[in-house]
Amino acid sequence: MVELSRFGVDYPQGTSPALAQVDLSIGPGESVLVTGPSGSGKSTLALCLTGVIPNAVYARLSGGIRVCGVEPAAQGVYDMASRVGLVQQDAEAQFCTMSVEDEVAFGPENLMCSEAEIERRVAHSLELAGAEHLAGRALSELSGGEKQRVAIASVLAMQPQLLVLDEPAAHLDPRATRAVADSLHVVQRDLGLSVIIMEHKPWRFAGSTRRMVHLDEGRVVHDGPVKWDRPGHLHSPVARSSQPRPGGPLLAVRGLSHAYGKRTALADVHLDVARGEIVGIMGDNGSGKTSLLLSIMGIVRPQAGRVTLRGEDITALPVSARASRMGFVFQNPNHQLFTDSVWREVAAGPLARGESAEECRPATMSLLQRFGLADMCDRHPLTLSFGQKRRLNLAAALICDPDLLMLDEPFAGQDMRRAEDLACLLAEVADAGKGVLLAGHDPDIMAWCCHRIIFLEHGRVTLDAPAADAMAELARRGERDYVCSV
Amino acid sequence: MSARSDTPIGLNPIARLAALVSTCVVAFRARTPLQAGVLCCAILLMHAATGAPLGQPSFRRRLRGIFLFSAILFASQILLARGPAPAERVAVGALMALRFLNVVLASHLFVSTTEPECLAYALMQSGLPYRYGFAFLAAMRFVPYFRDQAQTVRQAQMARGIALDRATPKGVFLMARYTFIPVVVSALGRVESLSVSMEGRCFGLHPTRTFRKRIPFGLVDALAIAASAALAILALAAM
Repeated sequence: MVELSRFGVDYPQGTSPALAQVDLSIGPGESVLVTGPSGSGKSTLALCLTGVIPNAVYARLSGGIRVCGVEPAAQGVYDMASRVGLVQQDAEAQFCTMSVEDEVAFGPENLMCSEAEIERRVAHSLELAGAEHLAGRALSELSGGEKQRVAIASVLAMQPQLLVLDEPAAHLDPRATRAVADSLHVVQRDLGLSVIIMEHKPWRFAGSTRRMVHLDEGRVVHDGPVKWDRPGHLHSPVARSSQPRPGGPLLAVRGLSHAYGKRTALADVHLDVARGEIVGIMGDNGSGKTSLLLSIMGIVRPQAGRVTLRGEDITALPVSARASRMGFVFQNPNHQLFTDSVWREVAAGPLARGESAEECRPATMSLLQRFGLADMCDRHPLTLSFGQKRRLNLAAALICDPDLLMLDEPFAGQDMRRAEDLACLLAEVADAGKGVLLAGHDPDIMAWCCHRIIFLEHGRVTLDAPAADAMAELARRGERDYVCSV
Repeated sequence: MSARSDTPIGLNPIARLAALVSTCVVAFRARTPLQAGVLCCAILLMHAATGAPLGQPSFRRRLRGIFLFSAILFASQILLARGPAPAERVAVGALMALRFLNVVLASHLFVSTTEPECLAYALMQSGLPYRYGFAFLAAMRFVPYFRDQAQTVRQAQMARGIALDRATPKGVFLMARYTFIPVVVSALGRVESLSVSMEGRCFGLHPTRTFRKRIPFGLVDALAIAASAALAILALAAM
């Protein structure tokens, strides 16, 4: 089905090959997990298999590549589309219609299928992807997991021989990830399709495949049974950090409640964060994690409850007054890069509050040095790598020396190397006596990084315990998707 | 499969579009406040007949702005117009305000009773090249995306103390300056994903395509378009 021999890919602007000397053979009906850190060449491989590289995205290819018996580069994207289906990371971004059935019908319509054939393909594809109950729904009403299953169905409607999924769980919570993995299992079993799953956290799809190919810097470093180093095998950053400091809580949230219209986002939430403590908030997408962080920051005005910081009631304080005492880092680094230089990015807050460049320069330079960005002061923030952007976000959030740092899903879509780097930075922040409150999905990373876990369900705190105890309690409750695997 | 809107106006979206254009022509050709007032009443009756949600909170908020702008139009004619007698200025002011209201309310009636995708499919099935139809649909999909992205970016600004809690000229300037680049950067990534997804499902392979969903076009729709055209011609000729 797939034959690569000494296959290589060079981008014109790249300093090293995206893929180099790759030998890979995948048979009909075989399922393979391709793993490796970000930048290891997984997405490049997916785009080569579909013919997008080099037909739509230019790159220089070397060696041999045959997919479904043909050379993708020579066949073109359209011809490959009926042989290879590609499901991308963000399901929402690949939709081009408004409703579930229209989306699944989009491909067959382009192939000029008859109305009856389109109907047959739509019904069959939705059933295979476990999404038949979504027929008739608007795409905007679906959850992340449901959207990903519709994306799979829309590709299956093209009747491909090979299905390629590029990090299909990057934006999903563990429960939705399992549902997608189950759907893939059914697809492979019933259709006998060859399936390639690109995923940097291999344990998420370990049950769906027996073979794993590990890419690193564009080269195959492992091709064999599924195996991985879980975060628990790494040196724990929490173990290096100081333990929560004694005394009253740094942050105390009491009876916080909020609703968007009729939908309850937060219901009587109580939580404490001590100095030097890293607290993780877990729960399904839509369980209220982001609303809780935004309410504490004051961006969302809760309808009831109190927030105190260092014993002072800040419930009525505007966001601008809280911004100097709390730092907030959003999920997507690009959403928080506003200016034209690294230096100005860190100083943007103080400058906006009326401080002069001279006044904020010492603190800014000190932070840039601490986060290894001092020699990039004049670079445009958008030219930095992902990890550098994330460090810049942290530096910008810490410029006012806040007591509390909040992060919304900082590990989403990140490989283990990046997750470990970030967790070490958070441990340093906690070491400095600050409180850290972060929302996340991945139980392995959260249990590894946090002192304490809070579990939210439908806006309500249903568990608040030290990380190890929280994992044991979640296991006892049967929440196997949220229990770390180490 | 055929699809027709659930609203009482069971017309093809193209017939509704023709009715909207015709109503706008009539609104602009109305010569007296009485004519414009009658048209306004007719549009409001159509709202009631179709169940178009005039009372929706979001539209009610916008309605406030629309009435305020109408009032400004009315007042500016009375206070600033030179020459005619005061009574005439009141009439001209009322006519201008009613014209504006008629166009806005007629557009609201059209938007609230017509699904954009139905309009796009109807246009494509009546001969519009499908690339344009899907460009329209893609644009529709980007509207909520841009709104959500801009909101997240604005929240990030607030958390950094860059945007002010209350709108001030300085706050508005900073917000605009710091919102544009992050939103455009994330939109570019999305455009790339969308184009890979569309080409990966053979969009553009053939000059035409088939459709699962048929938007019916019948005699009633043809008559509605003819009536709309006749009304617009009459308005242009007679009023």
